[in-house]
Amino acid sequence: MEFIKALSETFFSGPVLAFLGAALAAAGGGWGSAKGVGIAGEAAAGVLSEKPELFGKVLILQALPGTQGIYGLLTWFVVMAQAGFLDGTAGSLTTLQGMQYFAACLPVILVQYSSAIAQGRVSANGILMVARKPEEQSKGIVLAAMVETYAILALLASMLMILLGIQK
Amino acid sequence: MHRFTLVGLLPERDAVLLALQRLGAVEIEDGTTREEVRLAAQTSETGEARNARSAVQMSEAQVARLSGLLTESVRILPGKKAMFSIRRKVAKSDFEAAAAREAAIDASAGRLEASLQQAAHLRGQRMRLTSALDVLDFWRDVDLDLSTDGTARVRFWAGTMTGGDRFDEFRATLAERHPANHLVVLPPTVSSVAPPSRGVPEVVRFLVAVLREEEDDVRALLKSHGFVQIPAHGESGTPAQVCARLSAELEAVERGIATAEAECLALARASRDDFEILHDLWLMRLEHARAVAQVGTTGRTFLAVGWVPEKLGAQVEQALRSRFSIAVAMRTPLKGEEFPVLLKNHPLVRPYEVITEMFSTPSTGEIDPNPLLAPFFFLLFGLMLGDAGYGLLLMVGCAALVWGVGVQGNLRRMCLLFIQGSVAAVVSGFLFGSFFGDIVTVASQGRAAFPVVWFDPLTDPIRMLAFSMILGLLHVFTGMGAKAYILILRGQWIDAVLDVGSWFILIVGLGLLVVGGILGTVGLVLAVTGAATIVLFSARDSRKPPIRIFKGLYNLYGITGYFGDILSYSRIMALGLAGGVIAMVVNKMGSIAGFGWTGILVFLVVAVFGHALNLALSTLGAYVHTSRLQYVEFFGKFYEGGGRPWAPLKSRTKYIEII
Repeated sequence: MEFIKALSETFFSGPVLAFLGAALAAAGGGWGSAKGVGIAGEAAAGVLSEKPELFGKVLILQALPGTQGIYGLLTWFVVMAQAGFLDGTAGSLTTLQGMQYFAACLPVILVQYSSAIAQGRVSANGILMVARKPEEQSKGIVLAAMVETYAILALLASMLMILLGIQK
Repeated sequence: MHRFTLVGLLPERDAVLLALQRLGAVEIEDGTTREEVRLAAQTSETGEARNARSAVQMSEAQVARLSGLLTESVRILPGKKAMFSIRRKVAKSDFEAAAAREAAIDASAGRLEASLQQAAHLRGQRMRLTSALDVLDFWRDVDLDLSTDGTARVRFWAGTMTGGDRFDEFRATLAERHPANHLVVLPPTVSSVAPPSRGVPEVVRFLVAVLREEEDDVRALLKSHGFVQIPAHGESGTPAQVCARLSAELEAVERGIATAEAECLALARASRDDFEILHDLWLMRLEHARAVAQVGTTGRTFLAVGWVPEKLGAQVEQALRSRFSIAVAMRTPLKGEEFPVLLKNHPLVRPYEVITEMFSTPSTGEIDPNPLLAPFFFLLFGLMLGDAGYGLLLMVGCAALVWGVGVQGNLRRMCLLFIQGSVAAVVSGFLFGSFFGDIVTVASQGRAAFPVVWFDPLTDPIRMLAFSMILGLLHVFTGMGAKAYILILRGQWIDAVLDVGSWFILIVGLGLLVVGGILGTVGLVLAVTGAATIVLFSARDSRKPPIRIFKGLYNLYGITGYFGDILSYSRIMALGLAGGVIAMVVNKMGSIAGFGWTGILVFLVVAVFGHALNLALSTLGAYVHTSRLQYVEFFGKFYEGGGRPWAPLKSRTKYIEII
């Protein structure tokens, strides 16, 4: 019992929870983007083996799912700044505040991962489309950007919660 | 861009096209299907078209052949292969001298081709002989005349079978069915080609002799047990003798290969430079032949159509008129006529054309986005790379490539682009206090620090975020402004106000609303006006009012698109900071060994590798993400692309540059 109590005290403390939220936000975005950009990259390599002149067009489509990793990192930065990790005041975070930070990171943690993979698949198919019809590249970009809308909404939700909503 | 039409006398056709090729100022389009030509074709001979096409094909084949020979020559010649292929400079007189020796160089090429083929043929023979020797080696110790398969009444076989059960079964069945047999198992060979692996029964070598009457049955029995007959059966002599013969043959072949390869090497070394000149000469002739194929001909005249840039038109006409009897007509493009695009930009803006080209060349009716793209690309690239040290390194590296090594083509344009971007990076490094990260602080152990002109983003990331988003807002507004400009150019004032102006007002209004106070009230008014305009007028094509309002509301929902666009610019902050943080980590890693002599050495090694890697990754990331911002958020507002770049008839060379 003593052990569990000690563990829960450490684990459920403010700074740890806020850290956890930030870390998962960065990791979730990065994981999803890595997979998404990777899926698109596989399609790109296949297309370039037949048509190497399409490199520029294909590169942009491959880069599109990379946004979610950046958004995850952004959320991490904001939490680090707001929770006081960067200026050394994080020690005074209460458990309540820590939990709020963690909850605020949830939209980013969940949505960046899934939307990056989904966007990666759309990008990959966009690349295949560009292989057939290079002039339709902008349509491929628009299709991939549609998926990004939800990543943006999730980022917006998290940002507003972190910046404006944490109760003292 | 002017439409260019030229009619001349058929005997002068080739000379005229050659002159046009030298000028390099006119793109030739296919004129063989023109009305005038087709009408004329009905009354006179046009085997010309067929001749022209077959001439092109022959020319293409010649160039391909020489190109293949050159690739082979480069492969067999020793020496380092250059990383960047640069065209060799050749004086015009040397080029013409070589061109005069065309037949001789062609003969050399033929000899090289023959030698290469001979070498390849001999190599094939060598492979065949080597494998035959390998297989026969297994039987070398057996003193058996391979030429006979028996006597008048006895047939024998020599060969191998998998040992163990298989062989025992065979032996038993043979003894049962054909008791009059003689089977000799030979001892396992000393020089086994394949040593037996554990668990797999060794192959058994044996001889078996049976009466001729039982020949067929035994053959079938052998086959069903997987018998492999001795190789080279039917040849004269024993296996050892055959091996000796094959070895002698192999030696001769090896000598032949050595001779052929030496010949190839000598030919390649002697004639490679000449081959390059000949290749480019034929390449130029190919271009010429292609142009000839596109020129329409009648019995006594020819018709060439194409495109010439406005300011070069008069020069072209002058140059041709002085030498040939021709008629030239030039006119501006008709309304709605598609023409190839040639961009004309200030030298500072020109490197950025490669960015637009990678997306798509502007189409006929569009504006050139490069002057707008250039300042933003410059700014955003600099912020994303964001380090003075990296900027300096990039500048020096790219300058070395352009003016030192002398690279050409797309690589040169990218280098010029990066040189500009690195200037922005240096400025950004000074503004935000980043020089190889915090190397100054680490190296001086905290005593000195690189100056921060504005603020340090690591201590105030939110401010950096706000800065990025404001830049994004400016970028998006520029894109919208470009759209409005295009609409106004087309005379669609109303569309400009209702489609672009309304969104502008709405966004500005929302921004002011956030600020609050008096500006907030103004903002409220603007926002409501903007929103109302969008709801009421954005779908003004619809007849029915309810549908119009619905569509308008749906279009208003597009505001989320704008939010997304602005948020996308947060990557400026993210990438800039990420590069800085990695640099700091590299510095920290380098400083773990203290600051004694070994410590400094460790620091230098870690710093060189770490910062080089970080520079490469940051540059790549900055380039890709800045391009992505241009393509998606900026071009998405006003630019489609889909045009065709202007491709004039000119003397294109691959290996040499004539000076």
